[in-house]
Amino acid sequence: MKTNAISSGQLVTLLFLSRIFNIFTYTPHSQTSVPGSVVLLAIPLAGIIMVALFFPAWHLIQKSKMGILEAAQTVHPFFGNLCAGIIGMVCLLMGAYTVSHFEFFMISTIYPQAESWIFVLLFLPVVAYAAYLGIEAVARMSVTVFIVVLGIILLVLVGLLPEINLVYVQSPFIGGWKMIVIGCIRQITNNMEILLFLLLVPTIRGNGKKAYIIWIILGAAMYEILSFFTLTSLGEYSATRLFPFYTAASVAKLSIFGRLDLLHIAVWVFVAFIRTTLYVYGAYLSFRILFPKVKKGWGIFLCAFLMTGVSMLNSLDMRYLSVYSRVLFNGVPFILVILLIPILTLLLGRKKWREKA
Amino acid sequence: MKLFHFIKSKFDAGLSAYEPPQEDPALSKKMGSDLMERVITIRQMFSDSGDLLIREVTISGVKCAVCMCEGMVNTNVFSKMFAQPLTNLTLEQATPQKLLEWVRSQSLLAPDQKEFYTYGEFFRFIMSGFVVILIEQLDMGIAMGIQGFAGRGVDEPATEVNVRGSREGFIEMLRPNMALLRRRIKSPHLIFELFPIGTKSKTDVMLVYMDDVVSPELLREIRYRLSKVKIDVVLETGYLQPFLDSKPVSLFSGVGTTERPDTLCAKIAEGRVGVMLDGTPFALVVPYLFTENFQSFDDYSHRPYFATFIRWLKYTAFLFSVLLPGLYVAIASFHPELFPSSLLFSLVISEENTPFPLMLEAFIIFFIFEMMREAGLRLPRPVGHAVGIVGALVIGDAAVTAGIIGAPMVMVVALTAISSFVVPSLYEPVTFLRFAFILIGGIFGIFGITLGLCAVFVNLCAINPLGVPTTTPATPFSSYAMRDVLFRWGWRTLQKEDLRVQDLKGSNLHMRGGEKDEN
Amino acid sequence: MKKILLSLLTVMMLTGCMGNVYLNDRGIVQAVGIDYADGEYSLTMELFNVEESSADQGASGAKSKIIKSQGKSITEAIQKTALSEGKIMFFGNCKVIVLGEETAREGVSKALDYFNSTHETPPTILVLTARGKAEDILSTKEEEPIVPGKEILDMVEAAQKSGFSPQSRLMDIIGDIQEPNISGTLCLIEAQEEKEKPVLSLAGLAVFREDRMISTLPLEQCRGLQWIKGKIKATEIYIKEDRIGQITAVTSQTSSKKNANISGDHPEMVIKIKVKSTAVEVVLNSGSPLSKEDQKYVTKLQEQLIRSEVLELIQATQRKGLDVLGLAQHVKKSSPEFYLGHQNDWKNIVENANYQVEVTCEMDRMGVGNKLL
Repeated sequence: MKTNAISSGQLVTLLFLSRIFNIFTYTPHSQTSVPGSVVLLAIPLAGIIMVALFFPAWHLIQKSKMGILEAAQTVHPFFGNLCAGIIGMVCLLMGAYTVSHFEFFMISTIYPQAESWIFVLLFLPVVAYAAYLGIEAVARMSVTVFIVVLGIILLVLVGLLPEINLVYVQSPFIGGWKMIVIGCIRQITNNMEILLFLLLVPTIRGNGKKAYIIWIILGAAMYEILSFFTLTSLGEYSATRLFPFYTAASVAKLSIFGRLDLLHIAVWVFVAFIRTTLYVYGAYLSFRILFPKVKKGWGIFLCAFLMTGVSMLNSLDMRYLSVYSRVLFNGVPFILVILLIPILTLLLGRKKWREKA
Repeated sequence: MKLFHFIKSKFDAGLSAYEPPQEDPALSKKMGSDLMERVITIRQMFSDSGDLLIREVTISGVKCAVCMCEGMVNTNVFSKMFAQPLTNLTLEQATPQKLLEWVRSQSLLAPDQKEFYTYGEFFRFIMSGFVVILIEQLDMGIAMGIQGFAGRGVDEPATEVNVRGSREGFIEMLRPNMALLRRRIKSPHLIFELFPIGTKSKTDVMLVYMDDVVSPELLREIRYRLSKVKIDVVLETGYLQPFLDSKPVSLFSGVGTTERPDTLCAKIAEGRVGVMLDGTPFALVVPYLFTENFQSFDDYSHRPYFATFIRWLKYTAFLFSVLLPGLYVAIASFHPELFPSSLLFSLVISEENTPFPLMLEAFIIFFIFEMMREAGLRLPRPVGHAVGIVGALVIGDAAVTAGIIGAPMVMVVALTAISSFVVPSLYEPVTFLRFAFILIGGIFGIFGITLGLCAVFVNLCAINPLGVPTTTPATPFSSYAMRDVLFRWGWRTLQKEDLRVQDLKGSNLHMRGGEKDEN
Repeated sequence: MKKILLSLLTVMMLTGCMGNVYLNDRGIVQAVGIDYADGEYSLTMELFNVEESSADQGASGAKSKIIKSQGKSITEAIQKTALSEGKIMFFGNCKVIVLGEETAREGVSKALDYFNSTHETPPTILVLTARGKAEDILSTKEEEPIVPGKEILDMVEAAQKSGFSPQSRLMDIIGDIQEPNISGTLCLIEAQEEKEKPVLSLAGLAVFREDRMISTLPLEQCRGLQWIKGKIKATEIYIKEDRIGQITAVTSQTSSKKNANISGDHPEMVIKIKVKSTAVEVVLNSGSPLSKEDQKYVTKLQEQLIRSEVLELIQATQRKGLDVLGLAQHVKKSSPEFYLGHQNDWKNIVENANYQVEVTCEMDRMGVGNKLL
């Protein structure tokens, strides 16, 4: 009676929640940031480009009628193992980054006296447990979390309405097209969730292409709305704060509710939890290709263990995290796993799949 | 007769999918045709137990033995419907075979009449209150159902009290329970499937379902799981619950319980299966969805707006009972900036005067509360009221005045306690989670509580009792089934489409009701 | 079972790692005053007095005490207080930060940086400037069981509703400091002697260039600024005319729109203010209700009054080259090239800018009286 299928709607909610982790943890003055007004234009442009970038991978899935890992395996076992290793490594690094950034937020804003390693040590076992229960359980959970997150975001935005001042929306072209291009690139290279989509799409019931487009639109819309509200309610003040959206939630007041940053903390834990679980699961799917005899429990435990190690290293010093994020989001991992691997697999495996068909 | 064969064929069909556990080889031995030998064997096997009654009689010149258990038979019915006709019977040229034919087809000594061939069945029948006739030269026995053992009458269920609706609840005996269900669903599709369970106790267990609605896959799986029960003595449906529950291990169960026949009828009409056990009024319902914990029979008698309000009250009460103490401890310990000033001042004043940190205070007070509750349950009723008064005095006034706990904590306890009784079916997991969240909140703050919630929630989402996700219809989302979750739509809407558990999104049951099961 | 026990033990051993502070180990600060002199900060804090409040059982409200400390930085001064009081100072419920005049002139960034960095202090905490020393403001009620922090907060909130105080929050002043050409404003407060008792009152606006206070504006000019910002909830407009009489209206709705264009070599700011009001006090010279023409005339008088307040504020700030209206932001939005070309000389630009003020008033409600029918 067991099945691993999730619906396309569940996939959209999973990836949407994973995607909005970035806006919740957005830090101005980091290497990845551009002015707020530029972001408002860069987001929709990046969305259009991401739809276009998806086509090689989607074409691969359509032609081979299997997932990216399985398709690479059919080309040649060595090639398949190499691709699985690279994808698994990227998933591990992304998961470790998520945990490190989450821990960084916690010790910066909520628990200034706490030890940083404790968040990593507590978080990852629970994430590993969730990944072990399977993608279906996490997908079901994500639907409810999605509704809760939307409700909380709506509350915060309604609380911010009296603070809105449109004077802060400046022309995005002040810094020239260069800033807009940089903003677009940052938006795209930060969106590693496309990799998760490619890994999970074989498990879905429903239209994968439609799900992808809905996810991109939904993610871009949420990014746009949150960026707009943060920019117009905080203005120049947001440049002095490490986590502007958290600051906006502290500013938002709704009569009896008082400060809404408690809700923001809860939302962020849920969102970080789902994102990290997806990356652990993605890493497991990849390493399963390399080590098919390892049992599911041990496989997930090992992935989580490796992720814990990398996160602990990052948590030793804030500068390590900064360097780590620059390397991870410089575009090379993105091009490698989203474009290069699917295109190569498509080119090398086309003949085989045609003959099979 | 036809009805008898029909029931027998159903009984046999049920048994064919059921793997009987290993039993004592002597019990499965077939009876011989010598009457005296049979009687001696029975006495030996029963070790001459004081409740075994065997009367050797001659009926129309044919030697017979009438066997029963003391106190299990309705003596009035026995004498009028059984003893008198047999005693007055005069068959011409009576032979054992003729007597058997007369009992089979020309008499109505009892409504329930069964034939058997082994000693095991003999003991099962007389211990179930049947009267057994053994006829000489025939290697079989006839059991007559004239049960009359002492039992509780049909009364209002103790654990599921309703404002509106019937006041009838199940009792310990299976047969009257069957009648309670049959009266409510007058359909030939309502099936009762009986078989014994428990290697020694041979307790009657009954599956109740509607064969035009239930998925045969579900039935098959339930029978298979019950066949795995190797317990010696099965006394309560709680013994069977773990065998019907699915992985992963969870605080929440995918198997529900009910004491009400109307509730069970409503559940089986949606394609679920009821499991009832002789000796307990609590029936199991499989599969059981999480949202059903917040539904009660009263919801469907009240107007929709009020039923919806009560539904939301229950959801809020559940969240309060699980999270309120933990959140209170977490916010006071780690995030006091979230409290309004006046509340914070009261808290600080109360904390100044108490010796224990908040987390320990919460543990102490809730532990005392659980002790009071347990004491109140076990004590006889007249004394139980006094426990309530003592509890209020001890926990409420004296503890605060003595400076052991703060006044705000008493308020939190009171609100939590009342909230936990609003959803009684979830009392066990709620109590455990409450303590867990107090511990987590006191040590890790809001982060810990939220992480704990994630773990509990994902565990709940992973439960698939017998192929149906327990979190459906909320997730996976089934719009037509949601009409009875967040809001209780009116009956004009509810009647438009029948709910079937196998049709819910995420269900792994592919066979529909009424389909033939080839497996 | 073993796994559960092991997990429980592990969790219990982590109790010391999160750095929580018990409630009774926290000193709850309700107001803080910061003075600066001779390279040192003097902090005056209003602390919730647990011992007196618990002895009183809360019968006469929360009781406070005033404590003082010094240090080379804000953090050092706070740490010293922790040592003397034996409690860790908690600013999560702090209602107001009062900056002494000297501190404001020296630079508010250094004084406010601690509060902007800690997660306890909300960004919406009230920040005021004191005329004189902040210590005098917070110590006015030292002998009485009244909470000065709460009193100041209530006073400023009431003034904000009626337009006599701007939004004077931590996030406002810090945000204004980030934009070099904008002049931030904070509410000005002073302690006056009245019948030999010190009384707190609002004294106007403190105006900043970058993070230093360079000027003050009187209380009357505060309302001019709030008309422009459209942030007035309910303020009175008093009209006295010899022929008609006296009419006092209370505003029910205020909005404003600002646009900046470049006209020649100078920016021109167009300010459109719309005000709806309710006539509450109508003392007419004639016995009969006011005619439609006279009502229009009264609204015209209202417009003139509001316009004069706005122009007075504009002239007072323009003379000193202070951009309190946010001209820099509006020009940056509408003509970014002009702004980028003149941002280093913005003081001159402000002094030579043109302002057009259009006010539209409507007295659309009259309460339960019938004198305007």
